[in-house]
Amino acid sequence: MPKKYHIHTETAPNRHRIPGRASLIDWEEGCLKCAVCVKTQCVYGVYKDRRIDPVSLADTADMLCKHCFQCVQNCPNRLISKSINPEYELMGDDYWTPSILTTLTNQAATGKVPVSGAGYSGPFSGPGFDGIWTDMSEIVRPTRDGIHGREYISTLTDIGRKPPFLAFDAEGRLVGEGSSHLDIPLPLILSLPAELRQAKNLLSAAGRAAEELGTFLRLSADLVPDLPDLDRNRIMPIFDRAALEQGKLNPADFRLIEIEDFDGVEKKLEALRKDAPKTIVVVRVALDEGMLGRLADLTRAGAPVVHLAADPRGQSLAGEGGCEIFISDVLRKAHQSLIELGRRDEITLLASGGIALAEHVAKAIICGADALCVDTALWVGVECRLCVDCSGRVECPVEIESAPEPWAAQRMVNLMGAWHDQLLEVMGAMGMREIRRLRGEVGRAMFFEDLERDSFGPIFGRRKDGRA
Amino acid sequence: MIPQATHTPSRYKSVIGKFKVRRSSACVNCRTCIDACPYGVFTDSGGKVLPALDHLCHGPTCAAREDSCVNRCPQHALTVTLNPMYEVLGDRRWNADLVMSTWHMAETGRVPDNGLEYRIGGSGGGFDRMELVLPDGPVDEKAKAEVSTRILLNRRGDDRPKLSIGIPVYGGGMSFGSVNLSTMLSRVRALTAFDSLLCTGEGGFPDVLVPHRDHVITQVATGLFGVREETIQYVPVVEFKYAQGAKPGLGGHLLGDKVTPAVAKMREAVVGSSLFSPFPFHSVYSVEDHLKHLDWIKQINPRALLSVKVSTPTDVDMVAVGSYYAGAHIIHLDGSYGGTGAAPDIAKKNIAMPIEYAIPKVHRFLVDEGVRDEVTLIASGGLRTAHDIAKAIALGADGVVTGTADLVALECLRCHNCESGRGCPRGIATTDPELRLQLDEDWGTQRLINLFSCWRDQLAEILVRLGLTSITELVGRTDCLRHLDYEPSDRGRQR
Repeated sequence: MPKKYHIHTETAPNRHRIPGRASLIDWEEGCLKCAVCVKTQCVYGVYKDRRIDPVSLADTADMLCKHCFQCVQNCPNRLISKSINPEYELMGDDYWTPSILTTLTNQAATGKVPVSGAGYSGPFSGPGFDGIWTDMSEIVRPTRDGIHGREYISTLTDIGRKPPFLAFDAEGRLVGEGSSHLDIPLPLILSLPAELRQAKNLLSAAGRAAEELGTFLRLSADLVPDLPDLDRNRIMPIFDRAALEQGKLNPADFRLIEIEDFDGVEKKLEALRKDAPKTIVVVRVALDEGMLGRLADLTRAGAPVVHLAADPRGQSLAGEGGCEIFISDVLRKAHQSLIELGRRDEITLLASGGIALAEHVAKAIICGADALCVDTALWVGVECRLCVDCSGRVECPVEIESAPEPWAAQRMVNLMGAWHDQLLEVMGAMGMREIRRLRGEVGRAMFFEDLERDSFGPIFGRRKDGRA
Repeated sequence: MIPQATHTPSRYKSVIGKFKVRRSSACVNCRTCIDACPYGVFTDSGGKVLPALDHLCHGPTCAAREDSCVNRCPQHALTVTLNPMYEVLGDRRWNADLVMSTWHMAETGRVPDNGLEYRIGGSGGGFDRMELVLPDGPVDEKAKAEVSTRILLNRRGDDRPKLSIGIPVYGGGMSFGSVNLSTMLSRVRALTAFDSLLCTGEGGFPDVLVPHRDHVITQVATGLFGVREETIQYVPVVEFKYAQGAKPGLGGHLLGDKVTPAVAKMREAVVGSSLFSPFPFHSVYSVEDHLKHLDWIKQINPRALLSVKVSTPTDVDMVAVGSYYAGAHIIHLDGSYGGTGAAPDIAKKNIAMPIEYAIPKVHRFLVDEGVRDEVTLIASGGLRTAHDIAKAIALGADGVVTGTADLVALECLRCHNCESGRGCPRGIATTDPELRLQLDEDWGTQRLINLFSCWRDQLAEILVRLGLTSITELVGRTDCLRHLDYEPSDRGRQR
C-alpha cells in the first residue's frame, strides 16, 4: 500500500478581523451599577479587556461575541442589544455569500473541518450545488471510516489520456501508445482567479502551496518567467495562441499545460505530441452551445484533457440554445455525452468555476468531473473579501499585497487540508474508498428534481416551476 | 388526564420580542399604559412602571389604534417599533418568529396571538412550503376534548407489550454529556406527564433517570458508551442508532472539553479526551447481521420493544423494510436536517435526504410490501412545530421525535456553540458544573409541559377540523396537504 497522503496543516491566524454577523450595542448611559454586572459573567470573556482594535478600529467584543444573548437578556436596564452588522452583509455576493467567505477564512486559518453544534440552519435547497445531496450507506451497504484513519480513502486522480485497451505483440511487448497520464494526490489544481488582484506574493505562495500539496499551479504563461523559484514540475502554464506562436516558453519544459480551443487545435495537438511528447495538454473549450460537439471532436482527436471553465459563480452558456446553465449541469451533460460516445474513460475532464466549498468538489465529481480548479476560494483563504473593486484604484481592505508569502502559502495548504478531510468525510459516508470511482457516480447523490418527482410527484403532481 | 399548562415565564430579566417598546424619561409613572394595554406588556412595582414586556406586545398596528398605550400616554413617552434584534435572532430553518413563538408556547401553553408565525419556518422548502388543508369555521370544543392523540408503538402482534404513548411525540436521544441532567430530567418528567418516552442518547443511563425508567428508551449506538446489561433491562424500548440525520454515515462526536469527570465516568472514558463513536456498527454489514443484533437485545430484555434509528440514504426504503424483517417494532427515520450537539457543517447540510422526502418514500414502500400495519414509523430531523408533526403524519409517519424544539422551549436560541469550550452558555447543552445551575428542573419540566400541551391542543384542533377522531386516522392522508410550489390543478391523484 502506498504511503498515506497527508496534508500538514498549521495554524495561520487571520491578519484581519472578519466582520461578524451581528454587532453588540452597549449603551452605558443609565447603568445601575449592579453589584454583579452581567458583563462580568460572559462565558466567552467578551467584555474582559474590551477595546477598540487598533488595526480595524472595530470593537473587540464583536470579534469574540458568540451571540448567546445572555447579557442582552440579563441586564436589568436593558442597556445591551445586538443588531445586524451591515459590514457583514456587504461581503461577497449572493453566490460567494458572507457565510461562505467566513467559513473559508476560518478553514484557511486552522486547517480544520468546521464543526458546530445544533442542526443545519440554511435554506431547504437552492440552485446549483444546493440542489444536490450526497448519499450515505447504512446496514445494507458498507461505509468507510476514513476520517479517523482506520481505512485509507484515496483521493488520487489521474490526469491525461488512457487508451481504451492495451495491445501486445506476439512477444508480449506493448504495441502503440500506453497510458500517458500523471497523477495528483487530490483532485484539485490551484489556479489564479483571473478576476482578482494577482499580487506577486500570492503567486509564489500559491506555487509553494501547490508544491507542498503535490498538485499544480495553473497560471498564465506570461507570469511564469516572473516566478523563477517555482518548481516547473508543479506549474501548469496557460498558453494563449500568441504565446504558443511566440515560443518564449517551451511547452516541453512542463508536465502539464493548458491551451485554449481554436479552429485547427487538433493540428496543434498533433504537433505538440511530437515536440513535447511528455507534456500533457489540456484544451479549454468554450462553454457555449457548441460545447458537446467540441468535446466529441477533441476526444476523437486524442486530446488528453478538456477543461470546462465556467465563470466564478459557476455559470456558463452551454445550455440548450446557448442559455445559461450551472457547472454541475454542464458536467452532467458532458459526462453523459462521452459515455454515449463510448469514450468516457479515454479523456480527463477538468472543471472550474463556482467551486466555493469542499462539498462542491464532491458534487462536481459526482456530476462527472475528474478534477477541479480551485481559484477564487484560494484568495478568500488569504482573506480576500471579493470587494467590487479589485482594480488597484482603491486600497485593498485586507492589504493582500503585504501578506507574507509563507503565511499565505500555509493558509492555502490549510484550506486544501480542510477540504481534503471534508472529502474523506463525505466519501466515508458514501462508502467510497477511491475518488476516481466517485466520478460520474450520480447514484451516490440525490438531486432535488428527482426527489421532488419521486417523493412528492405522486402526492402533489407537477411543480409550478417545471423542475419536477 | 392531560397535563395542564401553567404560566412559566422566562428565567431571564427580559425576553426578546418581535417589537420593542421604548419609554422615554418623560414618563411620570401615571400607569395609563398599564390600563391601556390588554396584553400585559406593562406592569408596575412600588408605584413605578417596570420595563415593558416586549415579547407580549402586538406591535405598531396595535400601537396605531386610538386607545393604544402610545396614543393614550399623556406624556407621549412611548414608542413601538420592530425590534432590531428580531433580524439577528434565528436562522432560515428556525427563524425569529419560530424561536419566539416556541418561547411563547413554553411560557403560556398557548399559540402566540401577536402575529408571530408559529407553524412554519423560513427554509423555503419541504414542510415550510406545505400547508394542511383545513376547513374554516368554529371548532367543536367537545369533539376536541374527545380526540385521541395516542399511538401504538408495538404493531407487530408478537408477545411483547402493546406499548402506546399519549402524544405522537417522544423525546429524541441527547446523551448525558451533550446535555446535562437538568435538561434530561426536565424532558423525561414532561414526557412522562404525557405518557410518552425519552431516549437517553448514547452516553449511558444516569442514575437520576432510573426512577423514570418506564418512560425511558435507552440507546445502543456504535460506541456502546454506557451500555450495560442492566440498563438494557430497565427499559420498555431499546433503540439501535445506526445513523444520525445531522451526520449520516459519520460517527458520534463529543469534544474533549465536554468530557467532564461525571461524563467520563458514565462513559468509562478519560476526562478531557474527545470521544468518537465509530461509524458504522462494525458488526453489521447486512440485514442478517442486523437481525442478530436485534436478537441479542431481545434475549437480554424479553419485554423490550426494539427501535431502529436510521438516516435517509437513497435506499432508505430498503433499509426500513430490512429492519422490519429483522424484527424491529419501530423504524425511526432521522432526516438530514436533524439536530446535533456537534457535527461537521458539511455533513449537516449535504449528506442524506431531508425527512420530507423520506417519509412518503418509506411509507409507500412498506404499504406495497404489505407490512405497513405491522410497524410503527417514526420521523425526526427538523420537526419543529405541531404543524410539522401533523404534516409528517399526513405524509405517512405514525409519530415523530423531537429534540431541538424541546431545547428552544428551555430558551435555547440556536447559537450553534453547543460543541465548544464549556458548552452551552444557557446551561442546557453543557455539563459544566457552574453553567448547568442556570437550569432548574421544575421550571424546565413545566416549560416543556406547556409546549407539548400546546402542540397537543393544535393537533386536536387539526383533527377536529378534518373530521377525524384519532391521530392514527391522519397517517398517510396526503389529501389533507397542499404544496405551495405545485400546480393546484394536479391534486386528486393521491395515495
